[in-house]
Amino acid sequence: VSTDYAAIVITILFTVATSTLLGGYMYRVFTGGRTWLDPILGPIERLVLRLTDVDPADQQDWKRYSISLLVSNVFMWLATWTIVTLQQYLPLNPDGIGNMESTLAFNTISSFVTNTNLQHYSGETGLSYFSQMFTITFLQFVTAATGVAAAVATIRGLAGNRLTYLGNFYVDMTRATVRLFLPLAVLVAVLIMWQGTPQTFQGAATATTLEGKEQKIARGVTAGVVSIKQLGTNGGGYFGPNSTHPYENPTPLSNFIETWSITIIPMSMVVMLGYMVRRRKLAVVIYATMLAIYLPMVVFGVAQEVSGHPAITAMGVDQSTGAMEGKEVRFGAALSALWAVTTTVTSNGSVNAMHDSLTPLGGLMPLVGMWLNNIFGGVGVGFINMLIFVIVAVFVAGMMIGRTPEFLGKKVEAREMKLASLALLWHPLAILVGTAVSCYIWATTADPNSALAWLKNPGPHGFSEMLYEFSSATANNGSGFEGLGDNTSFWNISTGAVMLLSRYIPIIAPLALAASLAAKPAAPETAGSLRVDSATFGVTLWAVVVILGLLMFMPVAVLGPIAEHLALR
Amino acid sequence: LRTEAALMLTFGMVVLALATFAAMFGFVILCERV
Repeated sequence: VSTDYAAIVITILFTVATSTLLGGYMYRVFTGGRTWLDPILGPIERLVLRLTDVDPADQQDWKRYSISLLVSNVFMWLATWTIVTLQQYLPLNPDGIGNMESTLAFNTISSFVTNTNLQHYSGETGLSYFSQMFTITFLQFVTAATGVAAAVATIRGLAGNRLTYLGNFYVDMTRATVRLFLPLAVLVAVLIMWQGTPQTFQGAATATTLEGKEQKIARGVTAGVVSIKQLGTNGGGYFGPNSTHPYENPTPLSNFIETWSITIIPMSMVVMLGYMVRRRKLAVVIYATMLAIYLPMVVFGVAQEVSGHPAITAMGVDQSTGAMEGKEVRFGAALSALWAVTTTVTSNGSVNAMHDSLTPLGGLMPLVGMWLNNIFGGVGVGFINMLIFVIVAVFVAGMMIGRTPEFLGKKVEAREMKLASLALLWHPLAILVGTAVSCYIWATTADPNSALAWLKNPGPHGFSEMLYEFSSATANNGSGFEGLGDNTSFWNISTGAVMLLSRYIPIIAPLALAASLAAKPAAPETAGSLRVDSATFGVTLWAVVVILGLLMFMPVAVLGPIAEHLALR
Repeated sequence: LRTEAALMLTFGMVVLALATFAAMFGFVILCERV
């Protein structure tokens, strides 16, 4: 276990250290600076922009930027939905996989277009290689790039002074795909292939078992999917069991690489913010605030899993290696808990252990990560979510000291607060209403054989399963608590619609907010200004995030994981 | 009949997705007017 603790410390320290380097690289990429990869990636970027007839000089205000983002996403949705709905007739399908069912296709495509990657299907039996490459992998690149583009435009707005234009969405998305995700994904793919992850066009392998029976072993274009699913905070695995599968995550070293891949870009986004708004101390304050929530969650989550599950202890089973039910022996309890927290504070959603098997309070940590959804968060969108809390914290602090709230020299007025409230309130609304509706439907379904009787484990744990599903969909996370019969019309349609709404509302409102701030003249800071790059503001921001999180979600936490924990005592 | 129902459901799913995107275009206008 002590080796596991050392691995956790090394993983976090290495990710923090490398984020300072990547943040600088990203700053140069998005401000047109020179990088050492320009000779290779520059021509690719120019070729894509020329082929798509995008003029890099064409600047967009927040409204055109948002509409371009939506239009591109509508076309992506229609194109990729067509592929999975007709995959049976398309090439690269050596295992003869059929077309995807309508509601499942709606859910799957809405899930991948929104960077959620909630999976109600199993990749090895539900998708052809063509779909894996041109739907799953394609969307994992471009939707992650969409999030980065939205964040870059938002940051430009924050840095602006009487600024109308926030950049060009198509240029930013292309730049993020080609100059950021492509080189990193190639690097990670090669590293995990070295560790044993397959990358092949050959169909499933056939093996003869010791009993003399024939067994099909699925494989395929795995490394390419896994690298971008981690880096783009996507999480959509190649195989159903995601990174618990020995082909997706073969060794402790591949586990280290994949854990690093989850947080590296969200962490680097904050570093990039400091460079772009020319306030390194502000970036340090936001980064430290995020760490001050992330690290206690890791410590608490690891402590819960390493201590073992109370119900298994009661059975007299030795748990000296921690709560290992639902976990992989090659990773152990501690590194599984680190992944569970990391994948949910960012909106990644990949798993290296079954979250349904976590201890009740260990399972609360992933829920908390998705409820806050801004502790590093999804690539781009996590920072945008934190910006909303920053605006609220500025407003609260301004009210407390009796001054007009200001952020970076711009007055925060009614319009900004209304936009921040729209983005902030959608999140609990979708989670809580969705969970309430699903609870009602399940509770009023009398027939145990009905598709609506989706719980195998009722009581507080079953409540947590439904709560988790809507939290995951709303946070665009994509991980599943499992144990829930979720490939049904209700779950496919409800979570599909929630994922779409929960992707764009928290992007569009903050873009409008940033543009509103950008249009204002920046007043010079005086001794009377609220300093946002101070430790005091960091503590205020931390308290605002924690208190708002508690106010919004404490009741459901008590009904689910906390009630389950108390019932086991 | 079963094929017809499946086609209707497929069509319904596309309409639902497009309606949700349309709502988001409307949300852009709402944010402008806030």
